[in-house]
Amino acid sequence: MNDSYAISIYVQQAGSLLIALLGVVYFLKRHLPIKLLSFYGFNSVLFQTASTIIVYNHKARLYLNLNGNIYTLVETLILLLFFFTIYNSRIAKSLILVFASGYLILYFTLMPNHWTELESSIRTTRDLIVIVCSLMYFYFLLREMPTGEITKYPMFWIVAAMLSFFAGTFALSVSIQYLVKVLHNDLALLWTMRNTFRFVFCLVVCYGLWLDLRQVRTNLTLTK
Amino acid sequence: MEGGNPFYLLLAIGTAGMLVMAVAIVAFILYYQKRMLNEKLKQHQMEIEHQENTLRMTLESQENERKRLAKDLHDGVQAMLQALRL
Repeated sequence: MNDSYAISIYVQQAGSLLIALLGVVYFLKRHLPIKLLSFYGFNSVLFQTASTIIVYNHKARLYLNLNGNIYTLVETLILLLFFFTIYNSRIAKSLILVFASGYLILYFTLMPNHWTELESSIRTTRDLIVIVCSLMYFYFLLREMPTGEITKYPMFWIVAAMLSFFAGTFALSVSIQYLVKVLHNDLALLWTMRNTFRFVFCLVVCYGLWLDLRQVRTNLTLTK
Repeated sequence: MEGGNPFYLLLAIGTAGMLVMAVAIVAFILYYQKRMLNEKLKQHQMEIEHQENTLRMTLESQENERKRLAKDLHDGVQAMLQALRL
């Protein structure tokens, strides 16, 4: 494992930890989507730690893809729940339920006998779902047209980060299986780039969480 | 990268394309909201201007009417007094 790849793993882990920690401050006073994001951060740290342990343990390398495949499912479900909580529209909420059911069906149809393989379809579908959900959020945001500046909305930054990250890694998700099986790529360089990109994604999400934290603090000061 | 396989170029183009699209969407939303807010502000200012004009015109017409009444009253009383004196 080369140095830049190892550093990128730790850097993205730090980003996820930062998300988790920023969501934990005033946890009880935070809205449900923020709590879910905090959980998302903790979940990422957990799976990334497991992945790091597996990478260093040569005997357990077989389980690296299994870890990634399970993480993809958990991540998708958490993100779907996150979007479910931020929508006000009933149609959008129903659509999320359809996406969740569809994804679960697809996942458990594709995954049996392929648990230890790097499966492209489940990652591509996850990316597509997150992209569609993000676009739906922006559509509703434009329809409601808030009078305040939307750059001061925490959710704007969080969803913008999600849209950019999952759109940016979409091509990689589509081709991951081909890269490994046909081109015999060890993914070290591509994954280093992806991890660095994920760190940027974590930083933007953290900015959104920090804006939310500031609002919570202001509300607390006003109610004192 | 790795033997110059054209697939990597395709991957790079795909990634860059999707990323540019995502950033463009976010930028469009920011631009659109700013434009809509500016239009709303302009409309609000025009409404205020219109209200001010209406108020000014009402006050002016009231003032004119008051002046006319005062003149009528003044002329009428003066004429009556003149007639009485004669």
